[in-house]
Amino acid sequence: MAQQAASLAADTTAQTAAPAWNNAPRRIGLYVLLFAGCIITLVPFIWTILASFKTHAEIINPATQTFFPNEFSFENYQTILNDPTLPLGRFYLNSTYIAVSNVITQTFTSALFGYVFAKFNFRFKRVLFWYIISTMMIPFQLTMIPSYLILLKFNLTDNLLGLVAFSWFSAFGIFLMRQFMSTIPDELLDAARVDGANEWQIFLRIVLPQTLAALATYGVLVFISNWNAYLWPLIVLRDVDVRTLPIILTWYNDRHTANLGLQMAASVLIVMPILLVYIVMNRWVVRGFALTGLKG
Amino acid sequence: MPDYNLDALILYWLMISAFVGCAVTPLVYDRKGRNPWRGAAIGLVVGIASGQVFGRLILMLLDSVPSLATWVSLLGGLIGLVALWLLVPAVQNEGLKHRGFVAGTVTPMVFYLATLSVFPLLWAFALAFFDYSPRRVGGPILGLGGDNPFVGLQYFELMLSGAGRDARIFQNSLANTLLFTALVLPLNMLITIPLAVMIESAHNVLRAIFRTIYFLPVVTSSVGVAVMWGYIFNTQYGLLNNGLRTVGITPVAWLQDPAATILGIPTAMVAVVIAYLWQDFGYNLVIFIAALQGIPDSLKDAAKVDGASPMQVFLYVTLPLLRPTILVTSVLTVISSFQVFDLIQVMTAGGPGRIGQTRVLVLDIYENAFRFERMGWAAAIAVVMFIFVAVLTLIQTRVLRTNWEY
Repeated sequence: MAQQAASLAADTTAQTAAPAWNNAPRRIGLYVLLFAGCIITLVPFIWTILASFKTHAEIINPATQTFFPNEFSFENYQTILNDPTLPLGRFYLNSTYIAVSNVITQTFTSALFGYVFAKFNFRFKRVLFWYIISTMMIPFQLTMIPSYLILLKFNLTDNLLGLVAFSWFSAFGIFLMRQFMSTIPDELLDAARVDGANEWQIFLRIVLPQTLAALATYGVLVFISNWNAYLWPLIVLRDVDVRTLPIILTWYNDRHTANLGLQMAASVLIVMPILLVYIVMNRWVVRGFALTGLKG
Repeated sequence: MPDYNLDALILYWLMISAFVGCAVTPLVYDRKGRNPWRGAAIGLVVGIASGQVFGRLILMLLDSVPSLATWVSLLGGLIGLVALWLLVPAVQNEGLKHRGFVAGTVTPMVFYLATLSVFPLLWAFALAFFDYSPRRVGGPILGLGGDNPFVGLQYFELMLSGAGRDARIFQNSLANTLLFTALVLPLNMLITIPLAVMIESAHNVLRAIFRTIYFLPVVTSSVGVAVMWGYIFNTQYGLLNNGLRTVGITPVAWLQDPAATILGIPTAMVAVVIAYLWQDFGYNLVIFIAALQGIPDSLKDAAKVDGASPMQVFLYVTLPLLRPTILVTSVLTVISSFQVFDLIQVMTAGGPGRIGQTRVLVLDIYENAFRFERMGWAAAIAVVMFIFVAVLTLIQTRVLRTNWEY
């Protein structure tokens, strides 16, 4: 072992341009730290998942408070899935509906206006673009009160449509897509114009397919942030039936404050599915966040 | 009585026919060789007018079937618009072709922004000067005035003087928010920058795995995070106190005991900061990793050839080159931690203590506006919050940028 380390160290001194951590003790230290970080990151998840399999009796008894369950019990899950006041399927549908409709409207408008801002000139274009970008600096908490009052006037509170109405346009999305759209060569668009295509055809048939990858990345981000959204749905959706998953989680937990196992099982059912989606698509998600600086 | 809401219907007529009017009319005008921008303006006016007139007419005519009437009346604006599209004569003008697309997309966006972005913003500022509750009828314009009286700068004076319970709660919330941000920002940077450097120098395969795991909390819903950490910090059954008990330390009521502090900071505040950092660090981490990948190896190699230790390379080469990224991430972190709500509402609901040791500005805004229906006061707090965010962002931009230019 020591020999190996020594030879490794010798190896690295031979290469003058070696990466910073390229000798054995340093490398081992590096990985120990990184794995420790992973454990810290994962412990809350594992603790929650394990707790969801513990019975109420096991959790409240000081003698049996261990990290791992003494016996795996599906009691909590059975209680939740058989609870008639908690039709989980409906809440999944609500969340999906909101997330998907926001993805559709925002990716479409971002692509469209990214294209318009990148490829066309018109009066007040700079003023308009400046305004859109500056809305990113305005905290949502400032406009949420009048926005709610507008929804009241529209009679759209307790309505999933009301949740989508204020997010047709995303300043981030327009800004991001403009960058992509400006890389599309003008010759391509002009060629299509000469062939007699109208502008909508050019946008839908030529421009959109070219930016599909960027749009998909952006769409995943929009999906996740809307799926996890809490404050605005909490304000708009007072009626239990139309609520989304995060609100349902707090609502359910408030009714079962004493039963932690039940709460954790609800968290697992409500929070974890999106994590599976993330793990499957993680390359796109991470790249998207790094690319856009969009906060979830 | 028909079971429709006439006030809401009037607004639907307005929005739908205005949108259709200014989106389609430019295309028609373009085809007929006319100026599409003028078409957009005319379409907007005709759409709005005919929407109101024909919408009402349809509603009256189909009075016997109210459910159908409301839906059909939504299309009332089309009657006037189609007439406009058919009746406008074509002119010969080659110069303006293809501009209908731009006019037909930009005008609806401007209309949307004016009604659902600029207007709410102005309304928010206006609310801050009124004692407004949605329950009261109030004056003719937006319900301001009348039973919702104008109070001028009274709210802002209250905030400054700290007189009365509301103002004390506000000052406490502001202090808590500043404390929260002041804790989160440096700790986040202390965690993410070294971690990004370490991940960057790890083996390729492992690097991807580390990145995936570290990013996991970012995509977790903050409510879920609050529930999970709430259990970890639970006084009787939590992981942390279980651990403390096995080591022989007296357990602490992390989220409930207003007297418990660490380094003078209430433990509840420490707990929410930890949970927030845990959820948020992966986000800045990914940005730093991306930035590190953009730094050319030749710079670091040159330093190493000159005999710099890894630590020196980090301090004198990597860190200065990261400065623009540090600016961006710290501005974003300040903005988002100033807006913290979900985590705190679920974990502590602002408590413990009489006026709340973890009560933050957004929680104060939310409760005043939507629980107590004192929207004027809430809007005034929101305005103050907006000013703080703007000023902090400006300061950061200045401080970090001047250094960078040396």
